[in-house]
Amino acid sequence: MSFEEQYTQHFQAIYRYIFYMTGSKELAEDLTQETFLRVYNRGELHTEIAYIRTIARHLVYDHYRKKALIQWLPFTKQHEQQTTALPDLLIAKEELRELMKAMQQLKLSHKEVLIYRKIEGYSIEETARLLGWRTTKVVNTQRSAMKALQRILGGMYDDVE
Amino acid sequence: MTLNERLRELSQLKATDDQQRRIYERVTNKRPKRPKQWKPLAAMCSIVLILLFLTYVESGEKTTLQSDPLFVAHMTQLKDDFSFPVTYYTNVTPYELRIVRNAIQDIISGKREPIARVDDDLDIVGFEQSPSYVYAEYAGETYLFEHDYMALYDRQNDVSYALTEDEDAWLNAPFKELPTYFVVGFVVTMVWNGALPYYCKRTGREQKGIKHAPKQWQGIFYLMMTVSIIFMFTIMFTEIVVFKGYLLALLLIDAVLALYMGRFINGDRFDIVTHYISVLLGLTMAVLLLMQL
Repeated sequence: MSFEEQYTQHFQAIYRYIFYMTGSKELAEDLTQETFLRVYNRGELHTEIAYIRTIARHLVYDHYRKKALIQWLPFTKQHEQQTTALPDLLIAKEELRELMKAMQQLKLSHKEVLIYRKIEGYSIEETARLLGWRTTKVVNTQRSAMKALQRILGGMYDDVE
Repeated sequence: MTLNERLRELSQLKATDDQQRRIYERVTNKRPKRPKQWKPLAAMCSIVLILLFLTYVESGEKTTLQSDPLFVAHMTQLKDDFSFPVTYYTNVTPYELRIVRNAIQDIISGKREPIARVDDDLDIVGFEQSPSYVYAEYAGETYLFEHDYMALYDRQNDVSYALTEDEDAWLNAPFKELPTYFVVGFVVTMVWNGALPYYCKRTGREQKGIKHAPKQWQGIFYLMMTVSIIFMFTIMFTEIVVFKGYLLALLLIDAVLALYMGRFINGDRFDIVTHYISVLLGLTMAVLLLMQL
């Protein structure tokens, strides 16, 4: 599989993951680019999606680590993230916009498990493998994440597992 | 619709074809990412420079008066004129040295008369780092005098002379440079604000008001403005003269903050007013000082 085919196949999933993790369209673009640049530089033609996801995940965590280091000086483009242009899907639906905002208030692990399990639709086992967790941890974290999300949304939904 | 279904809907989110193509081109051509933000770096550098400058002003290079040729020359002449041995000060800042030189030059040129301050048996033994205090000994007791740090003691005649008055003492200090700082600060701020719409247009940035700025900056900004106003009124209506470098630091930080906050202005009346108040504070201060000089 050529790099272009790999890129076409996985781009949207990686972009979506980073966007939901960071809440910023610009940052999602940057980190997606960085992810594929690393894949491209590696030069291997048969790269698995799990590997690409791992790169993306590390980049997101790196970003938050750097951000935490210099949080006392708000130069981390916080205002830019707030004013970032939204993708069309979120512009069209206010409910999704609210949901997205609520997700940004979750812990990283909560966000991550919701993205894999609820948005991307991975099974518990697949999620565990991608995150390097045990399945029980996936189940427990997912439950806490759903409760936290429900709490932030002010009880708009009542199907928390 | 359930929360699960709603979350599932988020999977429909997609980057546009244009985004996808652009990123692909950047990756395959190894082009750099979006331009890095230079402003945070510039702001950081400004703050560091100001801190370095203040360090120099406040405690900076210590100079010993005796080692200053100009001072020694003047003192020799003073000794000839007044015939008294002089109690020297040691470790003075460049600004204090300048005050001493100015005062001595004024006396020699006849612009200013030495003012007899303290009579009999007083010996000035030193002065604290704060420019407003002098310790003097009288009959074995140590007294603290204000404003006398320019005093010279005539041992033969048991008379001390004050070379300068307290108002001059602080007005001749760093404040002489203040108008320059604020004119420069004001011009830079104006230029920046003039360039802001262009900058936003070019970078595709949305212009937002101060209330959209990071919370910490908002807090610091309003706090500094409040403190500046209090300082200004205090100086206008009292004769407190001990602020010196602190006021300078405050106003400079204020100006830098105003400069930084300028990027958030978008025509919101409240934002413009608060922003320009802080710039005008500096200007008002400068005019007030100019009038007194």
